[in-house]
Amino acid sequence: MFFFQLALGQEQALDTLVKKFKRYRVNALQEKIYAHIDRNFYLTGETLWFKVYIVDGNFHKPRNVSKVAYVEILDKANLPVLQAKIQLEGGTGNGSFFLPAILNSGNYKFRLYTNWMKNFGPEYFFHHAFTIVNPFVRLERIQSEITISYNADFFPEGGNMVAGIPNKIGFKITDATGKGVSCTGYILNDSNDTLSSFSPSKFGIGHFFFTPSLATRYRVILKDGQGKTSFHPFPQVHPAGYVLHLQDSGQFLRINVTAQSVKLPYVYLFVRARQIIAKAELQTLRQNKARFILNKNELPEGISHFTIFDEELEPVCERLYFTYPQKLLEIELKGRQPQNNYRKRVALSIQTSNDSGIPIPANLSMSVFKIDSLPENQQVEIFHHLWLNADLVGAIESPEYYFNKSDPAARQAMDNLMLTHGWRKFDWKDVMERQQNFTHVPEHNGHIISGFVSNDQGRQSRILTYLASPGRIVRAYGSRSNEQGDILFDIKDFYGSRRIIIQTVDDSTHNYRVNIENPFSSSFDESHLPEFKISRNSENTLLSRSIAMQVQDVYYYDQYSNRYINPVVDSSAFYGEADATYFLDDYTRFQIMEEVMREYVPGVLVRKRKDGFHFIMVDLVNGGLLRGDLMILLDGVPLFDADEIMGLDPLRIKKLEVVKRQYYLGQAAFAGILSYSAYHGDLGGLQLDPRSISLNYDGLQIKRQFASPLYNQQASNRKPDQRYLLHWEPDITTGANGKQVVEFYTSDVPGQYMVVVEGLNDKGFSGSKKYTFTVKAPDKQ
Amino acid sequence: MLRKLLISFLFLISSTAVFPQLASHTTFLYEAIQNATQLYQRAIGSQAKIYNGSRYPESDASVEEHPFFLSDDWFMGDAFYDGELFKNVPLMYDIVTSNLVTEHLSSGHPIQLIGAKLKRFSFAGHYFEKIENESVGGSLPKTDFYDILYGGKTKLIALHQKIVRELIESLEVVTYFPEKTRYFWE
Repeated sequence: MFFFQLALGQEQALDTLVKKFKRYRVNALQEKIYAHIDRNFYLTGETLWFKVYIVDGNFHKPRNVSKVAYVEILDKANLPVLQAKIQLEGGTGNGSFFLPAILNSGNYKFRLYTNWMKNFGPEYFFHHAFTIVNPFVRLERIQSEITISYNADFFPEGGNMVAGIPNKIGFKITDATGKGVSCTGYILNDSNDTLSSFSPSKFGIGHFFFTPSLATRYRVILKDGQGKTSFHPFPQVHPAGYVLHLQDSGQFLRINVTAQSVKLPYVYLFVRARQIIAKAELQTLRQNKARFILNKNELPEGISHFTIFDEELEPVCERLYFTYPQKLLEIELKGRQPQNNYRKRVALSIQTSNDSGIPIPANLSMSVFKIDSLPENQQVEIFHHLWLNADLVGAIESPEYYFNKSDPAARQAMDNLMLTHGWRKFDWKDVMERQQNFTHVPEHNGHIISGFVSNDQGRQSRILTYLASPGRIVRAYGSRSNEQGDILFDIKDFYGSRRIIIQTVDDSTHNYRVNIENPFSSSFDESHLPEFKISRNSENTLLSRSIAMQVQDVYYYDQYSNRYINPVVDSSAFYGEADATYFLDDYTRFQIMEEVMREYVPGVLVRKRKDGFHFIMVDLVNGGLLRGDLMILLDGVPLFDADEIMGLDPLRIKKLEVVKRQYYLGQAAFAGILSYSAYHGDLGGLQLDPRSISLNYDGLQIKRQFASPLYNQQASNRKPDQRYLLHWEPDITTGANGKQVVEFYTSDVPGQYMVVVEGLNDKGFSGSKKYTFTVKAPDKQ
Repeated sequence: MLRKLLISFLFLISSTAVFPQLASHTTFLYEAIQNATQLYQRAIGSQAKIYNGSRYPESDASVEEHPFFLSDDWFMGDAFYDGELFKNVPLMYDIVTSNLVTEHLSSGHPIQLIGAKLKRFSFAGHYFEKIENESVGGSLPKTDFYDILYGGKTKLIALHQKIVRELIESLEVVTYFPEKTRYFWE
């Protein structure tokens, strides 16, 4: 009877665990983000194009929660050299960077995230390493480092190495740049006897079995191909704890738990993949052993996390396991002309289908570029990123290798990868806590400018602030600081770089300051950039590509390189149509603003008191006078003192709009609105209150248009055409039959060309396809 | 009875036998999306773009009838305003002036939304959409918000209107709002 009751208590604990996880997952939406970048190698002066795909982390379907993506190009020291905010719609977006000549040659990191993703740390961002060469700066000969150093990391299966139990231990041997290397390792005891040896199977990664004892101090010696040796520490051996070992036996997985000197006999297994709970089970240790058996059919596709909890619901072991996913978007590409001449039309037919060959519609992006012999960092494909990289910590070398599931060596390598890239920083503490605090809200509508109000006493709450961008479109935003002093402005239609002005209403006695925060993440993951190497043989290739880039710049800059797609914006003022509009040119021009207001703006009374001018508005709706402060705007910027507008030269003012009603804007209320517009949207030369902040702020990136020449039958274009990037199309959609045709023209550059198509569909299928063709120089006549 | 049985039987199949995992697997995601979106809405709070408009004129307390569609009490509904969809906000629709009215969050005052920024709204099972008269070749009486009764290939729409009628009864001015609904189909 006693035993039965205890077991009931354990069942409840298991229930609590499941409940807590369920509570966590509905509060912690996972986003995964990916970018298809047109190439991997650039010269300064060229343009980098990219398409952004954003999906949920669970089913990989395009999602509309975040509407802004942050893109950064970071140098070796993680300093951002280029940054942009990209508008997302329906789960995709696209943009570009012109790579200026101030950039140095080297490897750079492209990283991508949303404001919401900042809550979960930079390891979850999308990262891609690529190369930029500045052809105008002589490349310095890099002294190749003579000191070769290796790193050996050990990952006991489940996390801990416990004495007296056979442990499966994963390892990863890397060089100084983080690249996997093949070395043989030996485990030595105190008297330098070799107890065991190991060597990696792929990319420096492998595993071995070892039963450690507490009495021995171990160390590891690595020997590389040249016979060079180095010593490394061996992971700590614990006297007590749990060891997890996963055994694959065809249809079933056995999860063996061995405990050493633990207090209580209960262990829990919790299995989840992409936040889907696959299993939660309780077992009793018998003779310090417990075994869970799992049918592989129970596991969702992708990475499953097997976590063992002890009696007190502390996670004690974790191990990852990979189930090969099925949701591959098949993309078929067919070219009409296998051999292409200069300036010829290429038509590529695209067919998208699911894994069983049934046509499905998809959203794709396509890049067509010349393959040159320059070194490239391969870009991870969308399918591999979503199913593998996005769920693992750290960079993964050649992820495509692991997906070759018919190759037993690749499957073994995948399992080793799971061992060594496990212990991802998924913190169970977050799950167990009642409240998750997410400081970064999703930008569900557009870019949110955030900041805080402070003075010498620290952050200040309940302070009303205004943000406005002077210009022809009258739009002002009010935000009252919250308990923490934070303010935020949900800005509509904010594209390109614009001046913004932020002010507080309060008088000068409190010395409130408004601080605007940098929306880009200031934390970085630990991944290294690969070493930048370029061989002497590449010189000619670089030279011809550099000449081509300059030729294009000279001949086509105005025509193609500098074209933008203007976003559609709502041009009406926030208050819509005013009750009265005055174009000052329609009237006798007065010398001072006071006369203007008194002579031909009925319904607005001008009062002059000791402290200066005041306006009072007649209520158009109910009659009588509106009580309270009215809002005075100049080019959309709120002015809090009527004297400021009265001091302005009326000749600089083009238009005055009057709203003669009690008006509400967010948290603020006004007794009417007076909205002045200067001729040039430049505040008519008004000097703003020195306490206000004025700065240039980058809104969403204005889209640059990819354009290229069209050669019709009578090609009479005598300009040279040295395009290396023949085509970039960020938004291709295939119809319900999965079909689409993309056309472009070849240039005057002969050689091999690569077509890369990537994309996904709304059912969570993703995939990519490569295709090559040759452009031959025409026969000399 | 038979139909009821059949429905519950189908429900049983779909909830337990056929999609037991699928149902529980996808619902958490929708909840997560909703919760994340709500975090945004809470952060924006009373700054939301729907709280942008002029004060709706107070009605005369002596008037018994009202100018609103269906009721002069708040309905919770959705409105697509200033390029954004606002869900579950208090709404009243004045069909004398074609003004949609909502409640200002911090002051509690009724505010009328700017017609030019309002595309569509719905409450109490009615779905209103702005139809520009030019877009239908001037076949409607005016550009206004029409109640979309049936929105398939053939459209059935209605224009609900009230007019202000003032009568003198026992030496007092009494305001009436007789309602008129006109139907159109395409």
